[in-house]
Amino acid sequence: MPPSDQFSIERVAELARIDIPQDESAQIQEQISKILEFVNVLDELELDQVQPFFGLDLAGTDAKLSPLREDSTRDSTSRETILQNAPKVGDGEFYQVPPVF
Amino acid sequence: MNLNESSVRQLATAIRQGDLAFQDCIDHFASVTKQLNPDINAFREFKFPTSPPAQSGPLAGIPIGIKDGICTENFKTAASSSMLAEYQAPYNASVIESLNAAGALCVGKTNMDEFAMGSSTENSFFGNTRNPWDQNRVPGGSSGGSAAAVAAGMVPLALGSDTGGSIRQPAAFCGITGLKPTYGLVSRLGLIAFASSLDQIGPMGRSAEDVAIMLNAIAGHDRDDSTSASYTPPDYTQSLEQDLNGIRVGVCKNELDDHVEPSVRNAVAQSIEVLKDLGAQIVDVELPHEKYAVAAYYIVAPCEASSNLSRYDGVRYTARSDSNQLADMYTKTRSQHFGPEVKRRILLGTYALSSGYYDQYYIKGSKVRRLIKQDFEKAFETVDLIAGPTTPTTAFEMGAKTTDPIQMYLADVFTVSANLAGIPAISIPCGFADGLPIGMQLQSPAFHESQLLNVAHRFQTATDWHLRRPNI
Repeated sequence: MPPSDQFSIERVAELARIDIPQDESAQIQEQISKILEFVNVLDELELDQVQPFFGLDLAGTDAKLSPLREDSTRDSTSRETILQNAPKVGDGEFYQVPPVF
Repeated sequence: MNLNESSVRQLATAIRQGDLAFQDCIDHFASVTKQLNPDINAFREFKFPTSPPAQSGPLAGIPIGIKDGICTENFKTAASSSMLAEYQAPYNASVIESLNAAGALCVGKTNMDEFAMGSSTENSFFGNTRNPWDQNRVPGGSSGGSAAAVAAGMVPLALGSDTGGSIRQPAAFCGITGLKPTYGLVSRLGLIAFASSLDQIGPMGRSAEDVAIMLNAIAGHDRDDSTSASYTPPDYTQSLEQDLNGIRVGVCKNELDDHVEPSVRNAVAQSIEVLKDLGAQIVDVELPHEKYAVAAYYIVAPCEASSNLSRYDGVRYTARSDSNQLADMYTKTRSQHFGPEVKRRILLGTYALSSGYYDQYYIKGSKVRRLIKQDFEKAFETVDLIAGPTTPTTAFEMGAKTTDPIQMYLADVFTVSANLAGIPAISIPCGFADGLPIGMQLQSPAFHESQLLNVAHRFQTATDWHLRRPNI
């Protein structure tokens, strides 16, 4: 793994769209670097021949993965209901956001 | 009838037979909750119905607490976050529909770590929950409100969710029984996503029997959850009484034992003797990669969290910080409304998923998941289940681990493996140290919940740890 000192809080915060106040930056940088150092223990393992596992593998059990469901229409939640959670709604029909530029 | 000491089966039977008035049962739990919640803060919000229509079903008239990360039409669903403080889910989670169909009454939303990220319920926007056994201590987390509500007698049952131990660790800290089912057994539709390949909803109650009754109501295939397994669950109450003669219980000794407090180690060792007296055969097993589980978890979970939580951008989900420019609005909203632990995990996950690092982190973590899963498969060739401590310590004091994330993460050292491997695991009360409950964890192969509940129930017929109540 790359050394954890390559972790740049400024760059990652920008990617994550999270603003880190100047006075907290050093502490968060240090905490995350420590976590990265901690997880680097995995470098001890020989993993070249190992297939990743993503959480769903029903081999050897009585269960099957969901088959494709029937292609039929059903009622879905109304636009009005969904938009009740919108911070700002335009013309009662769409999400409204500030200008892109 | 002493409602404080009654099991779910006793309560439901008494209601069905007319020996207990439906409203009297609700009023009892409402009164306990009103009295204790101001101190314990187990519920973020609750409303016990007055004169609801009569219910039928196995949980008819049973009040249930719902973790705040599970969507409900009758209550807001905030996931204990400022980001969702005003969020009104447009539909019930499938598990809520299932509980309603079984006659249960969902009476409120329980406090949790924000977005289920934490092991102490100290990361909630709505304040800390206190452990009913010692109010200076944490109830565990992230389903700390659910565990505390059951332990304090506010509700007989509660729903939790478990991504790395979030049902089992608070169950252990609060002296109750909590089950993380096999990944895919219980629908996740309507569970606010934290780490989708690890998250699982499960039942929390006082006893294995109570938990089995609740699992009956919520287990099974859901066509609207594509990770739900096509599987017809058995009746989990049917096999509870089976005797344990010849059952093979694995015990794993490795370097993680060094983390375990002597009082916890002793209680678990004595409990394994109880299983032996009940007819179980004790077999040593090895889980050589278990010591890597926390590290793998703290790659996989933050990666998935950073992706899942990208949806909270100020456009769709209630909270928005003002700005006259879109990208700035995203950043302000996320900075203002996420708490410190959530931000830390998003940043960690964003880094690990950023260009050039995916293979080195997420794929590497997922490969270690495979090794952990293979360890279990090998162990389960020689044993039916594996027993050990749920947590290395009893409930710790509030504030004890809030400044050091890694110390907090190590509270999950025995629980994360089951999530990484997708197998079920249960925590049951197995002793006390200095007045604080201790939990024993049992883990089994996928879809073997019947066996876990059978062993847990037989253990609970031979011991009375699960019957003890905090003095509050």
